[in-house]
Amino acid sequence: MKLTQFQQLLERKGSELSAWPVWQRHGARRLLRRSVAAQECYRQARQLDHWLTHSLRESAPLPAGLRERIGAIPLQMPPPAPARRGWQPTPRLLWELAGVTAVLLLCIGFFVGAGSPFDVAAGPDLASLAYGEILLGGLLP
Amino acid sequence: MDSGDTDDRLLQRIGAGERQAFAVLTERHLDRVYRLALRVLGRSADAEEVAQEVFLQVWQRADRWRPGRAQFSTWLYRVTLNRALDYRQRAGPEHAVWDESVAPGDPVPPAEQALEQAARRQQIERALAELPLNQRTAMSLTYDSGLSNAAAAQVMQISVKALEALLVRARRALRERLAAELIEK
Repeated sequence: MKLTQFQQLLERKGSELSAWPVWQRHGARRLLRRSVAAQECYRQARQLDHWLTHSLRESAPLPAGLRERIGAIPLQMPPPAPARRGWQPTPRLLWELAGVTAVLLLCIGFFVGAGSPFDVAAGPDLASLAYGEILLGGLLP
Repeated sequence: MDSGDTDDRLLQRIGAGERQAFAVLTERHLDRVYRLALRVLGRSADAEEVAQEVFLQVWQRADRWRPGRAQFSTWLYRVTLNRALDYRQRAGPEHAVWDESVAPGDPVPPAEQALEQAARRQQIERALAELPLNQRTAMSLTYDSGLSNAAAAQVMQISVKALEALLVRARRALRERLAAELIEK
């Protein structure tokens, strides 16, 4: 690894080498062993990270009373939704129900069709039906 | 106070209306939620309001949380960020001013070291406040919230590469501002 690459990685990923991808970490450690310039870059990056982490966390303490106000939310607001709303189906359950219904309808259709009381072979001629002959024939003496 | 339960388990308990679980979850995350809102908004009072809205949402919607589908902290920071950005938009651009009052006097009494730390902290805060909003947000998620680059990118809904580009620019700017001190140390 070259010094410029190491500097770029420090800027992108921060100075915590354990958070870097393994191959880059190994390269960085090898470079740190032999390059004084890399060691100085690393020291500065560590320092900056340390300041940022600690200074910022210490600089923004919670305002007085905020914790208590948030802690009082359960006392002021109604309990979370489920206690009031009751059971509601999830989208997955709805899809599953739709699937089962479709399969059931197919089965019913199949059984009705297979067990039909009408004898298709002995049934009326479709062309005759279309012209109303059967109906007329049935009505006429 | 921390019960040792995972966030997912606490949310289940909150969903069942358990106040104690809500107190534990608040204790665990409030600091970071507040600080993220503060970095975006710059004013303590506004950040406070956003933090309250976020935890109200947690209390009211805990039952809808699906364990294992996402990390709660990522969701929480995303909600915080979105709320803070909405708030900022509603309030207008003048809200981007840094509130000096959020920097307290150093609690450690004596002398030079404490003064030096306080001065540096103020310098860092000013430098951060001057960064563009997206760089400031990336820095806050990384340093205040302690998120990995991947998690911070998820919160900001950008790629890891885009997040790292923001971090590079922000770190360069801060290093320039703090160059003298960094070289001295």
